[in-house]
Amino acid sequence: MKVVCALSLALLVGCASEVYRVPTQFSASTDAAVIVLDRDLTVTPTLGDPATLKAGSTWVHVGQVPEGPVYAIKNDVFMVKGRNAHEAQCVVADGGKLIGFFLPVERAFVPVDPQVQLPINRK
Amino acid sequence: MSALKTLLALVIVGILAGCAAEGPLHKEVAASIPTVPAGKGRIYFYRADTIFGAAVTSDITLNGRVVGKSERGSFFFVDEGPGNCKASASTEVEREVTFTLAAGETKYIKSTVSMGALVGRVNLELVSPNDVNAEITELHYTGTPLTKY
Repeated sequence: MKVVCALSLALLVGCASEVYRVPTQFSASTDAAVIVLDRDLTVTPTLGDPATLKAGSTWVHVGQVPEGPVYAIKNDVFMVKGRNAHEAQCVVADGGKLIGFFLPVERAFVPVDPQVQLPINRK
Repeated sequence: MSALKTLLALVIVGILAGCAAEGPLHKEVAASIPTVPAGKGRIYFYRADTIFGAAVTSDITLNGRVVGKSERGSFFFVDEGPGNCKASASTEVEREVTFTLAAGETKYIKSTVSMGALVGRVNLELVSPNDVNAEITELHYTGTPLTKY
């Protein structure tokens, strides 16, 4: 019984998944459009931990991936976490819907399912 | 029995006390920390002074080289060229954080200990610069000696 418990514990603490991601291509942009979030929004990337986009955070358009425009947080940090942690940027579809995250180091796209409407003010 | 409990408690306290980092406090060396060299960015690594997992330590690597150690109540910094960065810590498993660093930029990475199967795991995460000051002032500097403090 003790062995079963120990193995179960080992499985539980060892089973964190890496954030699911697919390779993508990024092209930089200079239009610097900005969005500001009206309220906190918590989303869960595929196989990752919940991540909170903070109320009042400012996101600047920095480029494009095939999945959509990419916005990076300004004067702050944002990351998605699974087994490991990754700096991340938001991929926002027309209409302000968050469709996923772009990982600038991995050059990868992390889908969000379901997609979420961002509470944004466009400037 | 009571004496045995007292002895055990003293041993535990001794072990925990012995795990805390040594070195000057941040507030004592803050004025001596040099500005970020031109063309480089700076990464602070720190770990709060918490009891949980106090005895668990790990080397911290940055882009494949050991730059310091995660130990209770400590901080240090590394100046690095701009680009993609990967920091990692390892006990029974390796945990990493990936991020970009721009010239002149400062980023902060906090290490925490979580439960593992056999030994605690050291996790790394980026921290908002807005949240760092309250945590770092009472931590001990364990980096390369500063010229004067």
